[in-house]
Amino acid sequence: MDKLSNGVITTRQFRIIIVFSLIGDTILILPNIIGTEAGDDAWLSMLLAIGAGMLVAWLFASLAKRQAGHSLVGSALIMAGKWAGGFISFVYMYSFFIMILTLLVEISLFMETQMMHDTPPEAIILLFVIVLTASLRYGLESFAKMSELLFPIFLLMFLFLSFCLLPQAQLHELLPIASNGIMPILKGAFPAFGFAFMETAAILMLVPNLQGDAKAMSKAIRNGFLIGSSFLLVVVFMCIMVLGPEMMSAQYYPTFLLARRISIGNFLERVEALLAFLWIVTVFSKAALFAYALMKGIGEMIGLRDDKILAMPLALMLLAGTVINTPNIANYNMLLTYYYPVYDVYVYLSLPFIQFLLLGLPAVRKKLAKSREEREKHEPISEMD
Amino acid sequence: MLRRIALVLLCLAMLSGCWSRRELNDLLIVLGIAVDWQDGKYLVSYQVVNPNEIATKSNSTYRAPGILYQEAGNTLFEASRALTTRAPRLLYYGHLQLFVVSEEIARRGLSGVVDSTLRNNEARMDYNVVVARGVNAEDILKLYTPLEKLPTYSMQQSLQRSEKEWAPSVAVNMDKMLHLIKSDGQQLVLTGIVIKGDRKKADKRTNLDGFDPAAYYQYRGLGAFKGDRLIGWLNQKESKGYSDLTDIMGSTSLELPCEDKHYTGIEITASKTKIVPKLKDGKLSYKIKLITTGDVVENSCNSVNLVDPSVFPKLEQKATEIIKENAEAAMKWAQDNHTDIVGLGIWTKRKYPKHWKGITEQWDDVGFPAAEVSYEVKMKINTTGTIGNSISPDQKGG
Repeated sequence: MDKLSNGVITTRQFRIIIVFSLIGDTILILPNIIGTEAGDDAWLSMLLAIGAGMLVAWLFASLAKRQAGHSLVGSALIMAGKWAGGFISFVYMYSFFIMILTLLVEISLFMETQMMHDTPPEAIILLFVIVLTASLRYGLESFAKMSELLFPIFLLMFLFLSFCLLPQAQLHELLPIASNGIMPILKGAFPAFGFAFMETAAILMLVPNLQGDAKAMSKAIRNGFLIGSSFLLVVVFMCIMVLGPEMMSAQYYPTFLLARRISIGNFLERVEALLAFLWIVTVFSKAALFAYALMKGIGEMIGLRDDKILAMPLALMLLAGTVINTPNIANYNMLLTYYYPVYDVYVYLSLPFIQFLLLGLPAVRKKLAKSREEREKHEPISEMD
Repeated sequence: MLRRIALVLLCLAMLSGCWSRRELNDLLIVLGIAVDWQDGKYLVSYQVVNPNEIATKSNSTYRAPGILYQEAGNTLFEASRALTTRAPRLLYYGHLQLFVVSEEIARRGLSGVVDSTLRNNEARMDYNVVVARGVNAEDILKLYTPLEKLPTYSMQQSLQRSEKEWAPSVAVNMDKMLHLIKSDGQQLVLTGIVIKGDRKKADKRTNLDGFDPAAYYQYRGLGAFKGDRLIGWLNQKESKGYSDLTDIMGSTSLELPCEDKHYTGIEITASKTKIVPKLKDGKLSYKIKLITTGDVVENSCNSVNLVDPSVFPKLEQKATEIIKENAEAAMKWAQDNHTDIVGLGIWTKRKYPKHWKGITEQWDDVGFPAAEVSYEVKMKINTTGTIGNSISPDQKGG
């Protein structure tokens, strides 16, 4: 058995993967959506979403514990058998696939509108998919290590962005608080809750690869959610205070405009291309996480010994899927704002919740424990520290 | 081995450069855009850099520092692409500094004109927008300016400088303009620009022969908008009042008259504005607090004894009257013309968000003109420069 594909990741790497997945595409697309819905109360929406998000963190942490060393798909298969479990797994796999498509479309639309207008989106998607495939082939461990390596750079650039904009932040843009009542705030909070928090469900696929005990795992999930959501909160605050709600809702990519706004002493400016690193890294991380989850899930579903052979076919499917599925931007934005969050509720919240309840049944618990023992007998290497 | 060769070839093919790269020698760097309305079409003038001329080390070839390309079109994009029939390169908007619209277009509405630059991913939002007053917008870009070779740079700097140091002009960039047009509670104001002197000489190099340029630009007056349409101009006094009311005034000059055409000159060094709305029985009233500090920088009045502490309150009193007059003038103009350029609406929105929701629609036409405004002006004069009294033989001390 290939050690790398079943690689071991530390809780620290796990936490960073969660942070990146949480920020993911959210940093790019959310400010526009949340600003359109909630205006200058977008920060309240974000706070609300974070509150609800911490509940999701608790749910995921408890579910991860109940999975007892199995992945999301693996535990579903053991719990519900080949057919029913297979169906659940298929739903997960399908939505993971759609998720990666969405991320690829997002990054290509972004690059096209803001940076490389004349480049065909296919070229951008192709490059992105090539890197994604390479990362799948190298395995989870190298991906986790890469995330660990990129995090300090990400942090540094994020702080640079925030501090450079601080002089332009205007507190009064936050006022008046909740002038249009609670409805717009809720409407803004919902997509924020969906994009950032619910979609992080893919991390549950990494549970078997995790080093350390259940307690450390819960802590990593909780802290990952906290750290990731504080980044998002800062971005939303910056967007409102620096750009104002009007610009936030007028521009498709307010965060990019934020980077454009940096101007210190007339010489430190035009750094937006450099700062685009931020969201390219996070979007890539999220896409890679989902790609792993997808590859591994399919492997478990059909009982592959080595799931890496799936990397190439998946990449080709993604490439074709993205190119075919790219809608126009108005269509796409409507999908993102009104339909995707609802979809998220079904697949990334309700389904895991039901699974969480079912995994709590004593009979299921026994099954899980038994299957785990069997597996450990065959491959004692997977729990190596 | 085959795999390696394939990999190297792939890298060579894909990493050799950007897909949509545009080298410097393919670009026409646009510094200024002027839009006029002519025969039912946009007449768009682009001022682009003539790179040979502004390079400091090259020998000057006595050509103009910029080139004016002009083309008509139903959309600005059509005009810009039609340009390729007579220009060797394609326009690049990344360094745009000044956007001039003609008065006619401003009166027709700005949204259509600025839309294309907003959508353009090359254009940044930091260029200034001004209205050509009494001249065609294209004429503004056909002017030889002293000191700065590029007229647009000269104009942009002058606009920003005069907003800071002189007050009756405002440097509105595209960003702020969009904000003001889109949001409710405050209307847009743009500065007007005129060409003075002999306009025929303006676009000749000879314009700069001699100490006194034959033609020159000047910012004059603020154009007030309602929505995205220009509805009228504020004069200098009203413009000054506007700057003060909207708290963009940094520094300016005040002249306090005394006997017989003599004046005491005051430099305003800091100014702070606060507007406090008050809602009583459904009626809105506003208290406007203007807090200003300044220095005496000039004095030709014999009656003003600058070494006497008791003179200061008198000067301060006089100054507050002038400041109040300016503010009142601006407010009266705005209320008479039914456009809330001062931004009373914004303060109302912040303090009474619920009440504001009911009156937003009718604010400019009903609410704002009927608003009661009272002023509280405070002025403090700190120093008198390096001397006390002037050198006039009639005055002593210092």
